[in-house]
Amino acid sequence: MNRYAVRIGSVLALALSVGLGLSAVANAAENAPYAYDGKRVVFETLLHTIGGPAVSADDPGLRQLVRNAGGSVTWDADNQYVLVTFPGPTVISFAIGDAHYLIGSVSHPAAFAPFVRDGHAFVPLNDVLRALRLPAFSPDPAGGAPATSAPVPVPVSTADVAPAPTPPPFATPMPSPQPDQLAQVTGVDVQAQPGSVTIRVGIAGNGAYEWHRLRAPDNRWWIDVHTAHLATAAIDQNGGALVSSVRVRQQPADTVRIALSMPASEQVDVSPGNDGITIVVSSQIVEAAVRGSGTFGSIVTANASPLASPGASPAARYVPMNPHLIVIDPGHGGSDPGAVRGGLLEKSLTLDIAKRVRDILAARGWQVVMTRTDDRDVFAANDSAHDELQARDDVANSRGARLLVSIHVNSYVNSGPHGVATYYYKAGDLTLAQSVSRRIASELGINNNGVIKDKLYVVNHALMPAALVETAYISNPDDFALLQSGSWRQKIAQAIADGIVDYTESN
Amino acid sequence: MRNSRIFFLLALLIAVAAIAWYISSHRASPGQVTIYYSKVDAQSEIPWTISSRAQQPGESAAAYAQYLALYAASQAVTGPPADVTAIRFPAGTRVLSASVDGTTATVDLSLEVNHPGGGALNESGEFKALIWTLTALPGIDRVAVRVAGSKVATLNGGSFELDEPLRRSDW
Repeated sequence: MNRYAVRIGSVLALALSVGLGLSAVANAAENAPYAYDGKRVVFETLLHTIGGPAVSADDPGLRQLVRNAGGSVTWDADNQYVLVTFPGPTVISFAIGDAHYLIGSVSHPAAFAPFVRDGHAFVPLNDVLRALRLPAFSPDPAGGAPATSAPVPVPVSTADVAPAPTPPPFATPMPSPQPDQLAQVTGVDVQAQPGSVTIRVGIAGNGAYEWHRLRAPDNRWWIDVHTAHLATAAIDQNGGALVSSVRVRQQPADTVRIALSMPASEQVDVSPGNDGITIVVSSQIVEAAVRGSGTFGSIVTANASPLASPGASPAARYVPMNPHLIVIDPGHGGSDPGAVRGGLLEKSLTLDIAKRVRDILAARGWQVVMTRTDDRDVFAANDSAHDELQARDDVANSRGARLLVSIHVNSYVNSGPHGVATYYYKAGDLTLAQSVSRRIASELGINNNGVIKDKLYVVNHALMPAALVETAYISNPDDFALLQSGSWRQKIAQAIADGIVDYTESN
Repeated sequence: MRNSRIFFLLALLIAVAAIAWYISSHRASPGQVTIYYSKVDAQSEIPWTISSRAQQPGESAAAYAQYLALYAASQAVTGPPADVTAIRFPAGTRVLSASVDGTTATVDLSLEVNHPGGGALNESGEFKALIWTLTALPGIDRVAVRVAGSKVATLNGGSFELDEPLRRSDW
């Protein structure tokens, strides 16, 4: 009896869902005025969905609103995403079918997944407004916009949309870029080596870029350089065996697109620099995300000089070249097993946990690079501790990563000590370590030894905020049992990833 | 004749007493040094005091400072009595030499300190105790560590950095 009831309930729920889903896109578009800060725009393509108001990326009212804030809107039908770009540089990115959107590289829940109707991409209007620090759209006259006469099947209020995200990046509207403020893409240099291709894109000026990888079996990549002008004629080059073609074109909305076509599914590493972007295509590169973004140009402050004594001055502030890149360092590896007990090797445990952290962060839209992805020394087998540890720092330092987290397993001469500890050294590391430690304390039922200042090489020589997590004591029987559990390793990976994201949202 | 003997013995007694007084008045009194050890949380340093010899007559200040550094470092590496729970250097670790140059003490440890498999807790606690101990000596504010005569970046276990002199503010 109960079984039939469940089935009937399921059918009814399905029918209701389908009905609501259809209603989400079946309503006729309407003109809807929206007033804010003494300005007024009219959305001409507004739809009411069960998740809230949707507006086309091509809507004149939306484009005017974004333009008033100094930005532009791009709908890329080929790649199925919508970008709202500001010269800050900051990019708001919506992907069709994805119920999350990115501000920079930070993922936020969207009111609903953007969808395509009649060739036009519709995005959650209130998420765009929230990112711009504008009041939510409401058909209620008290909500900031005059009422319309069109019927509204599902009332929309701010309570219907996604939970409030972290404070948006824009405190005040930014001015529109002037032509002489556009970055100039000056050329492309393609160098093919055995097993890899390096493509250097020369760019004069500062700006932001966004990259996107089409899912297999399509092996194309796009790197869009925003608020940029192509200073040369369109470029078509052959990149050798790994890259069939490199094409550079000026796109509308002050965007220059670098398109790579590859005969096979290769991995691509996009690194910003002071004079442009370097793209390396190699099957050896680990890049889990399918899209990401970054900034280029002379945006690294003098205080972030590699020669500066790390931690010497609390006032020194590191500005990452790629604020969307996180580097995860699995401790030990290759010829260095780390701590060992009962056949369990520290180097294997750290690699396993690090991969889990990487996957969690990549799923949330971050670019993640690991210092190693298999059982190897990062510098060379049987190398010195200095060379090995510096090589790990170099992975993060050379890429201008936002932060580095090293993962280890602790050990002691007896079985007494147990639990997790998060280490920091430089003044800029403390907040990161605290964020990670807080998550460990709240998400894991394990003794948390808190944050500890310690002069650990890999933390000290990272130019960016860094922390080292000693996940548990392999020398303690209870911790040893936890380390053997895949589900526990997933839990601590989740806590570390959550702590990293917490940090990025407030720093 | 008899009076002169008594006088001579009395004079001899006075001379012996004077010499004894002179020697005793110039003998150094025993000194004290403070040794630290780390509790197993590596967050707490516990001091205890032991006696040491004082500067000897004719001993230069530099030589005495070197003696104190070697003595204090050796005590810190040996650690507290066995019944005290503390983070300890790996068994067999010895202080091969210690010297003082200006405000920097340099301590050379034997290879046993590079015990594989040690973690951050071990290394942090070991060196914290050593640096706390040596910087408690007059005029010393940092400590350079060598292993078997060589400068090393880190040990094998916890990657605690040793290639630059350590100060208390490093913790």
